[in-house]
Amino acid sequence: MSTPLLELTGVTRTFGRTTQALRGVDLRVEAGRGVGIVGESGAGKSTLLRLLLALDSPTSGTVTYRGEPLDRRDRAAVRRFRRDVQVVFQDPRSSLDPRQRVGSIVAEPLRSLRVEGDHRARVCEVLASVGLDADVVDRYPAQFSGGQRQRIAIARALAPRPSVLVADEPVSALDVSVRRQVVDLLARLRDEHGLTLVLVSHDIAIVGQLCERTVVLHDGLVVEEGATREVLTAPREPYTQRLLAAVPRLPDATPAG
Amino acid sequence: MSLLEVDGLTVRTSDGRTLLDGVTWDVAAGARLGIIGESGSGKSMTALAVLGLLPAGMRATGHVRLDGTDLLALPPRRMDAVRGAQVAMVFQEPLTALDPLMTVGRQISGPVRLHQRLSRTAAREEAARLLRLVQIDDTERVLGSYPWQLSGGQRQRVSLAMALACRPRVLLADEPTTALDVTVQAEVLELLDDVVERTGLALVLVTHDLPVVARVAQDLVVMRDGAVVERTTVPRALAGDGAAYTRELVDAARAVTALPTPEAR
Amino acid sequence: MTTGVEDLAVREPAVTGTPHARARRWPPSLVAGAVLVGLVAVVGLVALVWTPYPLDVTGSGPRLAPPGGDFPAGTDRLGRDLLTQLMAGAASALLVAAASVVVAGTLGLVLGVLAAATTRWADTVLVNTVDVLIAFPTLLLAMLLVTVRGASTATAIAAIGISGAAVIARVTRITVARVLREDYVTAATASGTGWWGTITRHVLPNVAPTLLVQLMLLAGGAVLAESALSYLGLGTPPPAASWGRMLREAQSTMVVAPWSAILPGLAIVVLVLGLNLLGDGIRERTDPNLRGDR
Repeated sequence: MSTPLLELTGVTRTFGRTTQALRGVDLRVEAGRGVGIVGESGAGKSTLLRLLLALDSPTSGTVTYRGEPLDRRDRAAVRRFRRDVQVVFQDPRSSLDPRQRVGSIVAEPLRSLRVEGDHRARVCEVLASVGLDADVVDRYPAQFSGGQRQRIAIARALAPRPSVLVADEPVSALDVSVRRQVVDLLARLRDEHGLTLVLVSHDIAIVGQLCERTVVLHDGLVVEEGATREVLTAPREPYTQRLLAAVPRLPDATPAG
Repeated sequence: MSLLEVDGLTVRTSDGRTLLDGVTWDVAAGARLGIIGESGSGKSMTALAVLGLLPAGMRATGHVRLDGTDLLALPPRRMDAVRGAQVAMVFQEPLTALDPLMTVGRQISGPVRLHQRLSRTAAREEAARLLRLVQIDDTERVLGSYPWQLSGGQRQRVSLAMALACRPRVLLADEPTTALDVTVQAEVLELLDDVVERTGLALVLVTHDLPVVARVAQDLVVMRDGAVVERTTVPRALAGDGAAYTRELVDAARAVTALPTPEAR
Repeated sequence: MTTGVEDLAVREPAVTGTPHARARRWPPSLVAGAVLVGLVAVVGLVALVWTPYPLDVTGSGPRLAPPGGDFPAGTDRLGRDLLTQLMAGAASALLVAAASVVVAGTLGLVLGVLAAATTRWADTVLVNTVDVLIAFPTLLLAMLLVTVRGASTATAIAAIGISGAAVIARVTRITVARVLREDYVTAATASGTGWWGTITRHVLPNVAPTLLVQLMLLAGGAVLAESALSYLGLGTPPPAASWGRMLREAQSTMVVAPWSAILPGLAIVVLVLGLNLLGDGIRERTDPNLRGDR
C-alpha cells in the first residue's frame, strides 16, 4: 500500500470540557481514490473538515500528510501542505470576499503561497478550465449567479495545482440544474487534473457520483466505510440503512427510447 | 370546489419591475399542492403575497380568493384576522420564526387564546394537544422549553403546531424541510401528510426540491422567472409529459439524486 | 476546448447591476452632506489666507453693529467683526474635528483589531478599558486633562479623540469579529494567507464602510464637543476663534444683539448636520443590502 496523502489516526477533538465532536476517527485519503464523508448535523463533519485542512489541531491522535506528522507551527511545512490541499466551501456567497475583484480572489493562493510563474496567465487558465471567460477578472462576486460564484471558488482552489481538493457541501447552496453542472465540472476536473476529491456532505447522491470510497460519520465516530458502491447499495450498519432510506428520491422513470 | 384561488397575481416594485406576472392556481380543501421553482422563480414571493406580507415598496394586483373573499381587497385589519386563523405559514428556518425569549408553551397558547378566547389552562391543554398532533410525546418538557433548547426537527414541529393552533384552513409551507437533516426531513414530510389527512386543510408546499414535493403533493405548479410555466400533476411531470422546463427540472433532480446501482460502474 | 461547460454556464443568468442600483450611487443625503461640509471647508480654507478684518484686532468697527454694510455679520461687544470670527471659527472647528477623528480612528482601529483578532487576553483587557472610558463623559475627561495640561486646542483634541477611540474600538472589535467568521477569511487561511495579509486584504476593506460612517458621526460629535468645551472655557483659547466661545461671549449681549448668538449657533448646526448626513450617505452607498447584489 502506498503512503496515503492524508491520514488521521485515533483523532479526537473536544471543545470545552464536555463537547466531544470527534471520538476517535481513523481516515486514509489515498492518491486518486476520492473519499466521501457522509453524515448529518452534529456528526462532526465540520470539525473533521477543519482538521483535514490543518485549520485546527486534534485533541489527541495524529494527522499525517504524505507520511509526515503535520506540525501547524512549521510554516514551511504548512505552506507545502496548503499548496497541495485546497478547499471549496458550501456557500460561494460567503466564501468570496465581496470587496475583491475575481482576478484578485483567484490569484490569492498564488500570491500567498508564493507560487512561481505568471499569476495572470494562471488565473486565466483556471478560469477557462471552470468555464469562465478571462474578462470576468475585473468584476466583483456580486455580479455573478450562485453557480458562477461556485466556479470562481473552484478556480481559486485549482490555481496552485493542488493534488487534493477538499469540498464542503459544494453544491447544496445551489439550484438543482446548476448543481448538476457543478457536479459534472468537479468530475471532469478530477479526471483532467488528477485530483483526489475529499467531499464532506450530507448529500449521499453527490458522494455516490464523485467518490470511490465512502465514510459514514455519526456522532463523532466512523460507523461504516468502504467502496462507495458497496456502502450505498448494501449498507451493513443500521444507521447507514436509515440514512439511505430517508433520502427523498423520484420514482424511477420508464426508460425512454 | 377550490378553497384558495390565486388569479392573475402580479407583483411590481415601486420602480416598475415586475417580480410576479399573472400567477394563477387554486387548491381545494384537503388537497396538497406543490409549488416548485429554482431561486428567483418567485415561488416564495407568491406565498408572501398570498398572506399580504410583501416587503415595503412592492404592490400586488390580481386576486387571491379564500372561499370567494378577495384577500387583496381586504383592509389591513381584516387581513390580520385572516392570517394565522384562516391561512397559516411555516418557514424554512424555524429558529428565526420562533421567539427566542418565550417558552414554547407561551408561544403556542398565545395565539390560541387570542383567536379562540380560551382560559389560560384551557389554552395550555390545547397547546399540549397540538404538540401531540405534530407527534411530540414529551409535551410537558417541550412546552416549558425555549426554542434554542430543542433540536432542529423538534423546532420545525413546534412551528407547525403554532401554525395549526388556530385551525387554519390553508397551510403555506415555504421550504419547511430544507434546513433539516434527511432523516428528520423524512419524518416532517410524513407529518405534514398526516396533518392534511387528519384535519382536512389545504396544503401549499413551496420548495426547490422536486423529490420533496413528489413525496407529499399531487398537484404541481412549476414557476420560473416570476411566472407559472405550467400547472400539472406530480405523476404527469414525472412521466415527462408537459413543458420542456418541467422535464429539465425532473431530469436534473433525477441526475442529482441518482445513487449507484449494484451493477453500474 | 472544454466540453460544453461554457454554454451551460451561460444559461444561468448573471446578477448584474440594475438601473435601480445605479440610482443609489449618489444618495441625496450623501450629496447634501458633502455640500454642507464642503461649504464650511471652503470658508475655513479661505480664512487661513484672507479674512475681512484681522482676527485679533478689537475695535475694527462700532460695538454691536447689526449685520450689513461694512460688517455683513455685524460686530460683537468689543467691536470685532463677526464674519471674520465665523470664518476663522470654521477653520478651527474643522481642525478639531479632523484631528480628533484621526486620533480616535487610529487608536480605535488598532485596539479594536487587536482585541478581535489576537488573543482572548487582549480582548478582555480592551473590553474592560473601553467600558470604563465610555462610562467617563468626554467633558469630565477634558476637565481632567485641562487641569493637568492647561486649556488648548491640543488638549481638546486629545480629550475628544480618546473618548472617540473608545467608541471606535468597540465598533471595530464587533465588526472585525463578524468578518472573521466569514467563509472567505477561512478560505484565505486555507489559501496560505497569513494573519497580516488576512487583516489588510480582507478584514479592513470589509470593515471600512462601517468605520467610515462611525467616524463621520464622531466628527459631528467632535464639533459639538469642541463648542461645548470652548463655551466652558476649556477649549480653544483666545485669540484663536471658536464658535463655542463666540456663543459664550454672546451670552451677555443676546437680547440686544441676537445675531451674535444665532450666527455661530447656525454655523455649528450646518457643520454637524452636514457630517451626519455624510455618514448616512456613506452607509446608504456602501451597504450591500441596499445595493444590487442579492
